[in-house]
Amino acid sequence: MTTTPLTARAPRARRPSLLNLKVTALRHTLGRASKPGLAFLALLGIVLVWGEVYGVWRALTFLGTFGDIGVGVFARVLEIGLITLSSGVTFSATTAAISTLYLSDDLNFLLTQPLPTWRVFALKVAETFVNAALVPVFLTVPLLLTVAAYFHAPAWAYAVMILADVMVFAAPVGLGALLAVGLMRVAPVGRVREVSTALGVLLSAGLVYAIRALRPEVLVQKMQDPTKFEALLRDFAGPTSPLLPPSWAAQGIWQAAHGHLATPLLPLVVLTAGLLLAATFLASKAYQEGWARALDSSTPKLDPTPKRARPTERLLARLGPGGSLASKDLRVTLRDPTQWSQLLVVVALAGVYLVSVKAVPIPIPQFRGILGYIQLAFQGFIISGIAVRLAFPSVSTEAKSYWLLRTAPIDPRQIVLSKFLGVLPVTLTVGLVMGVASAKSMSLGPTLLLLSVLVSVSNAFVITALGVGLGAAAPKFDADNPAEIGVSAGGLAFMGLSLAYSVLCLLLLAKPAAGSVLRPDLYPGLSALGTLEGVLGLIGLGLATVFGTWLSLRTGWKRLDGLE
Amino acid sequence: MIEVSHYTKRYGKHEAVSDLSFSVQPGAVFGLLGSNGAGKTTTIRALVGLTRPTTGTVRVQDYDVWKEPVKAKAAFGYIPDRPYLYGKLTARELLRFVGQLYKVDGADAEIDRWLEFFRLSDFGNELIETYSHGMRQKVAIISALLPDPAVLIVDEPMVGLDPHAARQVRELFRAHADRGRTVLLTTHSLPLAEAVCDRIVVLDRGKVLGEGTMDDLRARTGTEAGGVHGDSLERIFFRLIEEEQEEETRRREAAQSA
Repeated sequence: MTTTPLTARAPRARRPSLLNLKVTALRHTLGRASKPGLAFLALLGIVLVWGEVYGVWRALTFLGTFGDIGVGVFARVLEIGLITLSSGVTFSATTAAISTLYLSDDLNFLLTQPLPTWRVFALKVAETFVNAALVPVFLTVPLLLTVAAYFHAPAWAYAVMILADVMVFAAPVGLGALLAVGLMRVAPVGRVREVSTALGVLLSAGLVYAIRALRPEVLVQKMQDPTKFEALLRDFAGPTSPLLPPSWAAQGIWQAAHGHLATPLLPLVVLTAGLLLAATFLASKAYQEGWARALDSSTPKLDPTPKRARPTERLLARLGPGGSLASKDLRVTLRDPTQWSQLLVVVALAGVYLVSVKAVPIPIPQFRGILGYIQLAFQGFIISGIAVRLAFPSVSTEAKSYWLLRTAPIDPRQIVLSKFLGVLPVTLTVGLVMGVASAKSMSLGPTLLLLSVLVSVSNAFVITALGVGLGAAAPKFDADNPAEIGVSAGGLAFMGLSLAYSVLCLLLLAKPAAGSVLRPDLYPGLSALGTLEGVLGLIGLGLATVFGTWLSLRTGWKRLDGLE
Repeated sequence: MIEVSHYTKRYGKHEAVSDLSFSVQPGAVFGLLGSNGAGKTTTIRALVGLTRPTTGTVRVQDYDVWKEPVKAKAAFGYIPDRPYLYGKLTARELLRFVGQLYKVDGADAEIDRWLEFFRLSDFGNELIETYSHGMRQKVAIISALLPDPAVLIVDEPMVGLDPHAARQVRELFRAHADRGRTVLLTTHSLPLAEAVCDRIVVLDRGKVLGEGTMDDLRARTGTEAGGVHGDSLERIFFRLIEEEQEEETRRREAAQSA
């Protein structure tokens, strides 16, 4: 056999770009997405950004009338905001990192290609950032740009502020990746995912608790004493947590807005780069091995004795196909660390909120009442945070096994209702506990206590239905990992709509609530609810709850039915 | 029984299946054959309610799959080409779930029997995520057969199965049809189709090239006298494809000369 020698050297192949691969996939996804859906999402985004820009500008203008101290207060609020948001990212970064770094479907392909491990790892860390920190970045960038515009910052400051913002969220992602690689390397084989996820959640909870231990409510307490108020403002204008990375970011951002490049940005850059480099270094040693360990399952026991249905399964099966589905979902949730870890996050979120509310002493009844009513909107935000983890992905977590339901004699309506009824007990319990406990701890009157209960119930029903409905209308069965599901276009639309619903609930009953708080002499007991505004507000809340729930679920099952 | 009537499926301008009609009577094993992209899986997906026909109807046991989906789905069992199953359930739990959805009486005993049949009894309490591809395929086959459906719809059934299991499955399909039930299967395995199918449709690029029993197809393609591969289905299959390609060339030349 003869071979023909090559006369010309073939052009050298370009090194493949993994990021480019993902961007191409994203472009295809957007190209095939529903255009009206994208338009709606864009509109929702524009409204939210406009509201944020308008609110920040108004706040700066108002506080600016108090001079440097007033503007300094805004700087501290910005710092507290960044601390809170980065705590949230820290909380979910480890579980998101485990899901993205170790459970992604494309790892089977990527880690068997002739690619350096660190490149695959870097891609997955970038995905973890998108999954865990994209929403906070989107939320803060318009705010920072408004601050820059307000202070007529130079052009370079805009880039510095955005960079500082990205780094303040990249640091916890780097920490999460570092923890994930370490935990997956040392956890016992066969239970690697379970043990790593549990430890990751505990470590993150510990970190968030440490930040909570800074007790910001002490500051609020001082605000009640007029003699200390001026001193407080002065103190408040200066940084109080000089060792926290978000404080460095806040100072760097603030100084940049005023045209100065601040030194606190240096430790932030060093920390973020250090964490990411340390994670990459550790990954180059242990990533591939950790992934292989994650694939190993526990040793089979090979017990031929048939295990029959337990009483809970038998009980739920009596309710028909929907009950059987609920029983299956419960079992899968409790066995899947990426799902049960979300329950821990839910409990921790509600716990941190309740501790915070309980620790705020407000002696003036009117102020307490108004704050007690407004905080119901924050409870709605927390229910949204729970629903985006439990309700929205409930249909998508069927993943590629969905064919089994789709070809079985079960109606899409039964699927959606079963998912809704499976999540509702969690959101309803958390909502009611938060509503009643916060109302009691703030010693609210009977009208506000009742409204707390009603708004909590309404939030739980509508937000859960919105989550399940939109999740069924735009399911993501082919997500590379579970952490991706909530940051899809549907997930972002859900967050926007549920936040809007929380505010709508407050607006519907604002009149009777204000009457009972500001004029308790005119509206004793529950009498504020008997006024025309009260009755109309209650009817409005009832209608919004019924129609919001029904329309959300109906949209879900109709779209699921038409899905191909 | 299965009735596919003037079924067409378009994706934008691309026509995946064009005006396909056939029916499968009880007691028959019907094979849907064709090259990659011929439209076999698209047809199966319409029959099991995973893809809506652009035009035409698909009926199972006299129920229109898209108008009375729950009744139609209660009448068939489906074995997909890729056995994605809930990894966090054991085989017994998954099969119990299927038994509950299809309201199977005495499901526990049936599940034990099927697991024993496929030599999976020892693994019945293990999570499916620990199973090999072949074991998952066996569980998918059991889940389709557990309700003893009047119609069995199968997409590439032999992928991942060992020779012993492949023979068992072949015999199962034949026995299922012999008990008066209907079996429709798509396959690339010509020996399998030849061994179990009573009637066959050969598809290519969404169009029917030939339909009938093996004898009908032999007569149609003139392969009775034998050839390189004798009168095997393989010979018939390639002859039909060649005929279609010759026809396509003739059409193109006629269009060019016009």
